[in-house]
Amino acid sequence: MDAVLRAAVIYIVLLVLFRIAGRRSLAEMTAFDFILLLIIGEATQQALLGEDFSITNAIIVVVTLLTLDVGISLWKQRSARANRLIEGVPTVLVANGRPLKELMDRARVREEEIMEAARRLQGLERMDQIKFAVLEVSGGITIIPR
Amino acid sequence: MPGNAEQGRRDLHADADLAFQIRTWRVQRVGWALCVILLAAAALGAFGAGVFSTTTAGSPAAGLWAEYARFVRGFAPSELIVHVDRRLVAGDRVNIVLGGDYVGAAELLSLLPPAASAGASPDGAVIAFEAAGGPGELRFVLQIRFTRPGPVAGRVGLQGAPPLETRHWVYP
Repeated sequence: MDAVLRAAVIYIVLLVLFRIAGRRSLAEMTAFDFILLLIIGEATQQALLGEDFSITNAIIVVVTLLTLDVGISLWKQRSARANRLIEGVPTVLVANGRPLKELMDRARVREEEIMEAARRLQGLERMDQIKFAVLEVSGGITIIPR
Repeated sequence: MPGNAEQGRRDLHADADLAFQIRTWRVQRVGWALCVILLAAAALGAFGAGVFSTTTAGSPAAGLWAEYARFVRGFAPSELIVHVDRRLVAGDRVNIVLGGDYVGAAELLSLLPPAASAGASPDGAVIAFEAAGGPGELRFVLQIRFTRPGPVAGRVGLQGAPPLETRHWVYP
């Protein structure tokens, strides 16, 4: 029971913390973000396992985490509200070539990042060639050309 | 601006609810502020070693006092330092009694100086130390770790004398 509780608490705390951190955090993985993820994994490992390093405990922890993940994905699938709450919603950052500055600031996205996505995904050169730039729930930027 | 975003939402058939997103950003900012408060509290000792956490029981004037951490984390080492005035000790042995929740909610990791012997009494675990030298203060460092989360009310003192009461909060 202890292992199940530990895993459930860590899962929920990480879910809330990453939701608070925002979708831009760890969205576009840099080498440092990858290292950060490894450190977070290391930091939570001991709390997940406690002092019990047995195979049984590891299996209980893994099964708890996977069951919670499946349960939450089912909940998200059945409830649009839960999906929004857990995943967030896409945000339009550029509409008809005009950057929506206030929304970009709140989403912590710079014009350069939008232009980078425009060049990379659509081969666009200028902001006015973008019909919509959308910050997706995954943290990536989607570009719809005009 | 919201008009342009709204047009985007319609044209893209996306669930881009701007009002919800703005509420989410507000909650996120509150979350960031809470994280900063949490870190400041941690730095000051609200979750373990630090100025808020370190406290004492008893007083040097009474000849017996203990320093300990009010806030500790489960399974993390913590120090209980017992100070005894040599004048309170008859003979060359100091018998320190650990009672209350210390028996059952904590484990003894190490002792400095090492114990001469250990045993049990109705008041708790009795640890005997050699006491050498003339008048002055004797200092015993007990490294303990708590195995049960929640409040822990311990007792520490000299055998045959009223114990000091200690209060810990153990984080899981």
